[in-house]
Amino acid sequence: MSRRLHLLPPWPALALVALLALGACSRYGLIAVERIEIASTYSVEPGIKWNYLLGQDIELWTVDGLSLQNMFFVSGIEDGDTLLVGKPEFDFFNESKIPEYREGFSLLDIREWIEASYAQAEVARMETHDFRPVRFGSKKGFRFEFSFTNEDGLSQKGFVVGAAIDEELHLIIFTAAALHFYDKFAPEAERIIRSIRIEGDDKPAFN
Amino acid sequence: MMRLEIPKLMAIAGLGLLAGCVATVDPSTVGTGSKGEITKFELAADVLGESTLVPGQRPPLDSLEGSLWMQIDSAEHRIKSSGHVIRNPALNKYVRGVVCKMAGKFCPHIRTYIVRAPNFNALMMPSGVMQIHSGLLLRVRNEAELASVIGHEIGHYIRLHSRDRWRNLIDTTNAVMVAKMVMAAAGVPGSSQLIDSIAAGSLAAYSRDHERESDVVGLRLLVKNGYDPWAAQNVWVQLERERQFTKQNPFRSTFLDSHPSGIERAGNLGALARFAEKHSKKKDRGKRRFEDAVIPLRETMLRDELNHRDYKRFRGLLAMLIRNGRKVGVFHFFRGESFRLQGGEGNLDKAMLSYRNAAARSETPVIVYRAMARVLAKQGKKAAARKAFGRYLEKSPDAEDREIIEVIMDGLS
Repeated sequence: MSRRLHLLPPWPALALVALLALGACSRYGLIAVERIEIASTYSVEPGIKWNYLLGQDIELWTVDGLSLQNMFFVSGIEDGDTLLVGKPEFDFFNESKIPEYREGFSLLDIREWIEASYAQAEVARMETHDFRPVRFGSKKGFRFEFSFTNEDGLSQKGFVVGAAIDEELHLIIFTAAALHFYDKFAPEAERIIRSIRIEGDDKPAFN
Repeated sequence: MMRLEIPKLMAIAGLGLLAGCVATVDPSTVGTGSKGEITKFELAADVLGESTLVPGQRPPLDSLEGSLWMQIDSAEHRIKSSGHVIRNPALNKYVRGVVCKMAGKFCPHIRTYIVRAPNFNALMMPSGVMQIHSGLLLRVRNEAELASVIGHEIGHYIRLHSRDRWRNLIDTTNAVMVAKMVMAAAGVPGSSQLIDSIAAGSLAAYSRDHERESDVVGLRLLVKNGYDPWAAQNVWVQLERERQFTKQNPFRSTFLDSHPSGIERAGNLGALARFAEKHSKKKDRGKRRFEDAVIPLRETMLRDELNHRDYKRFRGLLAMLIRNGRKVGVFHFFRGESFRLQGGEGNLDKAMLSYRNAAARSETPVIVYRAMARVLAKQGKKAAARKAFGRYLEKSPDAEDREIIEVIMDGLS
């Protein structure tokens, strides 16, 4: 574990967790600028070409590199699932502290669960704000903004958009370096969010 | 995978192996035997002046020791930019002031970093880097106690303990092993738990004489600077109390658990303090100065401790903080948070009780009403939950989550 991590640059923690979850054999692919289906549940339409990595219930998109900007799609979260993937191999005390998602979580619980997951990933100075209801395609969803500092001392900004679809939680997390990259890619991230169309619905719904 | 360890904190954690670390103190060996005693003459002598340390002097670059120094230098570079270092100017100024007071003429050669990590720890590297963990600032109760830990670390530094320890390692282990230890240190994940386990692992590496010597240096520096000589013992008594909340779980190798003889150590430090007290009239504790510097960051530190998710131990810590501190509303609030997050019917009731205690105090954050509402909602007490949410919004007109709260309130009607 440590050797594997050693080889990796200090990406934003969650992206790194996700990447490890994708497995060593994952390779980037290039997404066409067209409607893309996510986890057979909903689709989005990016306006530019992104690179993607695909895992079970996880997709990770980036243009210039994960620490500069990424879109993290986490799908089908159910009772007992963790946002961070797997048990820590370094769990000396055999007591995993990864926070688990629980059925019946309130909206406040969901945000708290995401914050706690990030804290376990050791990101520093995580702050969240502007928690509000938004549309997620045709569904009622939520959104909040966040900022944290990664291990290089690089400030990161982003937002989480999520909704329950068929009793499973779906999250889209946009993260980018606060300097330059957030402002440059936030409009594209917003466009992707606005383009969400849930399987079975005819038209995309806007906020 | 959770311990997603990121190079910088790896380095911070790893430095424990390379540094004089308060958590590596072997309590069973610090005694008032011949080497642990101090004389009246020693107490009055210039403890810093006795040091043979030449700051800035480094081993030759082409030696193994030299290459180890290069590694700790590069680790310091990473610490400098780490997101885990607390940059609050007032707190840094304050802590550095205490370090400087204790280190005297060596002050210009010591760089102090306050690391955001929820455990009791302080480290000193032979290159002059001192790390103070935020968990230590939460646990010591006054400036004298902080100074006692700093003094102990300065003891390792000015008596060149790391140099001796490395040389001993190089002599008794093969060179490849030593290099591997350093590499492992640099690669160990940065969870606070692991910082402790590194410390525990390197426990044997520090000699008994070194620890005893550093304790005596620490005490002499306390007396020299007019601090209460009982401070060092008080730290250990306090830690022993916290330890009692973790005894149920022998596998959790935290700092406290790695020191089964904390009581004995406290006793020995007490004997030293009793002696010193006879020869020193000053007993400065600096409680108010310390609290003024630390209170602004206390909520953040408590949140870090809560995220550690060791709820029982956390409540043990809170019980002590409530007993010792001022502006204790925030402690009651976090006690409630720990019960709420732990969950379960009985715990939800206990959470409510703590929140009520917190809400009765003016210094408590307004989010206590939101927290109460969440518990009430979980208990199915919809009307009461609505009322509490309403109270939160009323007291916090600019609440960043107002719209979400309104959605939740709609669901409760």
